[in-house]
Amino acid sequence: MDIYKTMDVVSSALTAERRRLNAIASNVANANSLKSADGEGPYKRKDVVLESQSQAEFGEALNEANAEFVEVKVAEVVEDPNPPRAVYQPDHPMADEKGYIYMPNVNPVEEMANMISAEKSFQQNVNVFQTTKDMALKALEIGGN
Amino acid sequence: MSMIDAATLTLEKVLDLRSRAHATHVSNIANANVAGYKAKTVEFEAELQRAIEHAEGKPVPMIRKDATVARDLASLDANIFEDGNAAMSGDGNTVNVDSEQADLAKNYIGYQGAVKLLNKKMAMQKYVITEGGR
Repeated sequence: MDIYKTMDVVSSALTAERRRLNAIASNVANANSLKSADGEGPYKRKDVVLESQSQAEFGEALNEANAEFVEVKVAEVVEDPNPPRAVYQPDHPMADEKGYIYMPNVNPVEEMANMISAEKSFQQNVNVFQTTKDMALKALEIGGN
Repeated sequence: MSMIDAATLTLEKVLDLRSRAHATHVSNIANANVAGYKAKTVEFEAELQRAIEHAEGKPVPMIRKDATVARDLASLDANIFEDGNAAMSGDGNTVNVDSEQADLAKNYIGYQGAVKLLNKKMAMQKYVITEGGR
């Protein structure tokens, strides 16, 4: 049924935005982690890559341009390739021979901006879900009185 | 006049088309953060208008008019296409979330209106069936 498929589209967007928020949370939490989980240098900034996925009716040819149900999917979680930030701190136990330690390539200001963007998108999709639900309930009123 | 007249058929079609338009706006808002996604536009109002006027302009009896509208409406479908808007951000996404939200609200109002009119139509028929509420 169409209305449920519409709800699936909204819920796919909610999942995607939540995954984005999860990545941002990891980045902010690990902004000062000098050792990553795999032990290779400092923590590397994570980024979620989203992609669209058109849903075709069963038995209907999929035409990207005029498909009205387009779900969002997390394609992959990538690591930011930017180099770590070198900080001169010779008395630090993890400093190299020149006295530098390497901080994660996380920029807290950027993370905050992304967080607001993801949060707003999440909120918008919640509102859209509400409207979708109201519409479905409205249709149930037909012939009711 | 048959029980299911041209107006009822039109309202039915409106509900169908509006729910497709709703799905399109929902997809656009859902994909607002996907790089390279192209916003989609729905058009059906002009064609719907034409289908109704097509029958209106003909000097045919009421019963035939309903049949003409029914035939025109059956072949009518929403026209969904990618719009040629410029990208809203650097990643090639062309969704304007604000206008999508506004269109979504407008579309919902149109849907509610159609439901209300359909209810009125049915209430009238019921009134007749029950001999004026006797």
